[in-house]
Amino acid sequence: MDGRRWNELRRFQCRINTHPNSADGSSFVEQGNSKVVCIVEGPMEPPSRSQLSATEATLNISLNVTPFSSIDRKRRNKNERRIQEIITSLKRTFEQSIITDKYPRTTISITCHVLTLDGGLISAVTNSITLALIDAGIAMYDYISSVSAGFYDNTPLLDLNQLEENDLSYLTIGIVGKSEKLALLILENKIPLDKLEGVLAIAVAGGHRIRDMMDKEVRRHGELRLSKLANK
Amino acid sequence: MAKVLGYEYGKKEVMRTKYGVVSGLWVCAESQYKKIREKFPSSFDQSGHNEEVLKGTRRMLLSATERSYLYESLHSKHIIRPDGRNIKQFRPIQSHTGFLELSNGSSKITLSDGSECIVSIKAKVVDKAQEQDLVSVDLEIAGHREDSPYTLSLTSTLQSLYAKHIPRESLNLTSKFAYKLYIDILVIATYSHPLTMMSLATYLALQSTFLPKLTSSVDDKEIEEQPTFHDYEFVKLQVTVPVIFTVAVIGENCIIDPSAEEMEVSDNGLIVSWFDGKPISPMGTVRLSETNIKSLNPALIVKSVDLVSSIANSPWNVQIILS
Repeated sequence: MDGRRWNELRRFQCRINTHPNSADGSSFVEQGNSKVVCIVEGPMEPPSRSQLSATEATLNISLNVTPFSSIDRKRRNKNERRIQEIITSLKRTFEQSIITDKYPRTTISITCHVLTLDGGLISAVTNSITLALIDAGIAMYDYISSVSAGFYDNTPLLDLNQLEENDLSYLTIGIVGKSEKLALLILENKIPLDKLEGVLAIAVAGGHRIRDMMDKEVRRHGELRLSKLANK
Repeated sequence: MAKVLGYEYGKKEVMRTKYGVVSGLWVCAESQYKKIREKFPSSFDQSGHNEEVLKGTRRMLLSATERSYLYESLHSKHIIRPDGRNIKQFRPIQSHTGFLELSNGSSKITLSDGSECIVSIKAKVVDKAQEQDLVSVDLEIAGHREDSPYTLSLTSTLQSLYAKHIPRESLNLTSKFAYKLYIDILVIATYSHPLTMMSLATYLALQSTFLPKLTSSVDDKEIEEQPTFHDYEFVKLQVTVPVIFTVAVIGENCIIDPSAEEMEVSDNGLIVSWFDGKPISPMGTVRLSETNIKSLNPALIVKSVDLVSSIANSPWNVQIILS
């Protein structure tokens, strides 16, 4: 659609520690024209006892798709079913990848603001949460990098934009680090079973590329911090 | 059984000072809570509202000695503000504009304490006969519900301000159609009173708003015609935009743009709207702190308007803030 090859990612840019004064961890991810800001606070004492678990950390994720994010301005209800479903699956994913038993009796609250949306909502949000958690210094087993892939006319396509997403069937995966393990797999419509493998294969390859780019940003930021420390 | 009065969760005694109950320490025994409540009813009225305000502001807490020190230094004839500003000085502001491709105008403002706000302007072509207001303000503050009284009151303040003072003519397209502006404000973090930040961000966004250029004729009284637009050329929106200033009153002193700590010790707060070289409505008091709210000497209102006018009417200052 936008002149990319079938296995090409959109422009991926990320920044971590974008809100050093207001949050424990923060990140900004641009995937194509989608822009997501993620803010992590915690691990902190929970606001109410009922949310407390004696053995592990509890995750609180809120996803705010702003009314101005799409081309036509549209007010979204926070309790919209699709948003709630995404939150639930994100929660399950990150409960598995954060070493939650390191932080008993605490909550980690994650807030994502989607500023502009051009396809790949779940993948952009997942990547931004991973980066913000790393920035907050929360122990994780590995990166969760996420990308979407669709299927059109016998060819798998990587990283769809909004127009492609509207017309094609696609899936979003979250990959654990450099392995081929999936932490997240969301398929909202149908893909023929015999073609699924090819779609997954390019998605995994794309996910590894994104992991490398996120890693590069984290290391760049780490070096920056280190040089500041060294200069003191 | 301990009762949590507010947001902060720590096991300390509630302290009483000459300024009222210290708000940093919010956990006490149930019986004690009742006693304090009877003794200082003013600190606890509208307690639901208080908790709402506290939710977004977690670092405002001062100890009794810090509070009294700060109060004395802001109360004295020669004001010493904790960050060394003079009474007319704003905190450093960082801003970006035009970073949202899908909006007609956008801006982001970050204050030095980490408060941050993003504004998007979207325009839609509407039939003038059917729309009363050509400006619609929508506000979202992270950590607050959309229907919370805090958010709603801020929304209505801004809505009335912009709907009244952004001239309809500047949004005119043809004799039938006009642009309607949707101003969406997203506050990502706020530690001090967010009105100034929001109004400055909106000012910036409106000043950097580009609307599609009209290619069909302006006069469509005779012929039924839908307006058509140029494919890629845009026209910059030309509007004059009102700005809101927050002033904290401490004793006989007025200071502009109070930080969270200054808000905590202030006697009262004022918002002053400024448009076209003169103060306009809405102008009034705001709750800046939870505890010691004192009544306001009317002379101080005049004083704070003078303070705002000395800032707003000096082109140098406005340029510094808004460039």
